Amino acid sequence: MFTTILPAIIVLVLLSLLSALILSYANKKFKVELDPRVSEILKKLPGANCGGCGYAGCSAFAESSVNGVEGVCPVTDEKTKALIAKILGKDCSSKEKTQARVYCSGATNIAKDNKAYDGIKDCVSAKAFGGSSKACAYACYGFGTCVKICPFYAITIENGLAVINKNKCTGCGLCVDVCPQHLIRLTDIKKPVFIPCSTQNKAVISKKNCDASCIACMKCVKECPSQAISIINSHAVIDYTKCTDCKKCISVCPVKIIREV
Amino acid sequence: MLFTFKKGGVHPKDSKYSAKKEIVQLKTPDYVQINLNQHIGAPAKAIVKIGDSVKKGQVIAEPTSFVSSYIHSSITGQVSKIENNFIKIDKTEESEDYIKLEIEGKNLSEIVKLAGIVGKGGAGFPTHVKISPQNPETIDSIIINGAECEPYLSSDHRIMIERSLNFIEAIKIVQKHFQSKPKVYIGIEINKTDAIDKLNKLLANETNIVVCPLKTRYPQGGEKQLIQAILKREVPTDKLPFHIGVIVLNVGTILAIYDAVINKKPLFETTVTISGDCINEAKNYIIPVGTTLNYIIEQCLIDKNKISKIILGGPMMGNSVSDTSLGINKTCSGILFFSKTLSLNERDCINCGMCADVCSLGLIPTKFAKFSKINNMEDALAHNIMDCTECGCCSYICPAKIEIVQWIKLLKNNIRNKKKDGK
Repeated sequence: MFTTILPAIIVLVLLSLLSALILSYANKKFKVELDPRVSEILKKLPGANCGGCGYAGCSAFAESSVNGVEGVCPVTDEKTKALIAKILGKDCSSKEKTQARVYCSGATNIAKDNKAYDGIKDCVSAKAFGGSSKACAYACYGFGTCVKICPFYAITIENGLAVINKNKCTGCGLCVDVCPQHLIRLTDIKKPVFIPCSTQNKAVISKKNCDASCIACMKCVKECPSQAISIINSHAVIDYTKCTDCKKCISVCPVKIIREV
Repeated sequence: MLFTFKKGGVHPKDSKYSAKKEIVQLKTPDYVQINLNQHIGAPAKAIVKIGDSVKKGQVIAEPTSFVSSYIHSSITGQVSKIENNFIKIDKTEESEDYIKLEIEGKNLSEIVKLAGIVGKGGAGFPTHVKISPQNPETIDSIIINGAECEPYLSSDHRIMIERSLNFIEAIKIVQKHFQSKPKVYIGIEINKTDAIDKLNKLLANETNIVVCPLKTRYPQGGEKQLIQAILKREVPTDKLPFHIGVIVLNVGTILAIYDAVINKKPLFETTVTISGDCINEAKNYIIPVGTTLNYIIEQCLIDKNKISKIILGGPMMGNSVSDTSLGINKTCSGILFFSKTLSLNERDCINCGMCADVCSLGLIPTKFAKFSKINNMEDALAHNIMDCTECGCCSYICPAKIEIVQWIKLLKNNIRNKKKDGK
């Protein structure tokens, strides 16, 4: 019995030796040179593939950084940014950390309705086909398209208004792009004062549409010691390059629309 | 023998309450608000200023590109407001007269362009562009769309009965415009036997114009469905009817062509079916372009408090509006006032396949809704989402109450925007 099986064993052993030779040759000849820095950087990145850096995912960002293209992962903290820079042998220039804020306060019953909306619960769809039930044409629709896109679960809809959790927001910017009313903007976290109203209607109309509305009375404009506030398109806007966070504007606003995040 | 498209479709209740009554002229309103964007293509540009006096039929806005249209004043009066893409004109006198078009020596395309005629089937495609395709010698068939398959609407029906001779004369004018001597097929649904019988009698001696009775089924009046039903040809993806030698024109558009050529009259009023359950007597009215919904509600004796939903167009494909201070467009052929509205709660798809059964274009609507919810444009394009004509059969039949057409419109919009950005 052994003699009948012996040729089979020999053939198999020879075949496996041949495959091993071919594979080890191929391993050497067709080896892909991977820069080890790419995987080192990848380990430091959050791995959420949010696209905040402008690339398709964390590995794409790691590769482009190693190839010398300047970039930033807005989600990582300063310490991690410095570590990544060290791996690349570069300096890390600090940029102020920003977070997304919703520039509208029109929750249900604060922003009045003037029609009923029967369509699908999607903000982009509502914008394309006539708006939501709210009378103010510039209000948050509250259907949650921003909620769906946030990879960090930082946004919720409360009473028909989008609310961003500042403990979870990483400033990746995906919600900014998706909001069809352009109500979400990235703001420096070191400047907590903001004016969450984006109405473009004159005060007479705006006040009828929403209890929270900015009325462009200009008290804040006059009060600000650094001239950081101006009225643009019928609502007050803070210029954050001038704002010193003195909070004087909050105390003079008669409708209490100037808030702290 | 009844023509019909080969698969799918639905049959909602006809509700043609206004079909037996004659068209009536609506009293001229005290002011009109005429939109500058009433057609497919670039919006027209105002050529009048606030304070100008304008006569009925006078040009108040010019086209801004090849695919665009002239807009005319529908009343004699004074311009009081120009903003946000509309012109408001206050009436200064009642007048039957209008500024006549200067059409001496002009060909049909030029006349139709000067008259501001756009597709009255609802889409508003500039007609002068439609009747001037790149290779006119390849046009062998013209289909006149008298299907009027939407429930409630009957303006085309009444035009075919009350203005039959004008209607036929205009068809011959369009037919002559094409050197290739195309054959004309008038598609009319079988629920309009009076129109079919009358036209058959009047066309008894014509060999090149035939009436094609159609099965009453929605969306019989869709141009792709009509071409498939009558000529057994299919319009390829991303192509238009003229690519396969066919031109499709609406009944209202044909009548506008008659008025332009024979009466030198520009398009400044439209025949509209006013119906729904808030009105005692549903009827067709000739209404000046720019007449506000508020005025129509008042004139037609509709109780404003009863109204829960207003739809411009038919209940299947029309758009609902909430602002009654808006003026109507020249493409408007129906305004429906309903006392009840449906607030549906979407549930998850149960994969029953009924939407695919009713889709007359052979698409799978439930897939599009699923792709749309996650904004998956690639797969939607691979499944030919751009072929969808948004007829609404899928939303109508869905037992899970999914607003399929709205999801499809959203994704198509995103795809178009992405293409625009990409360019």
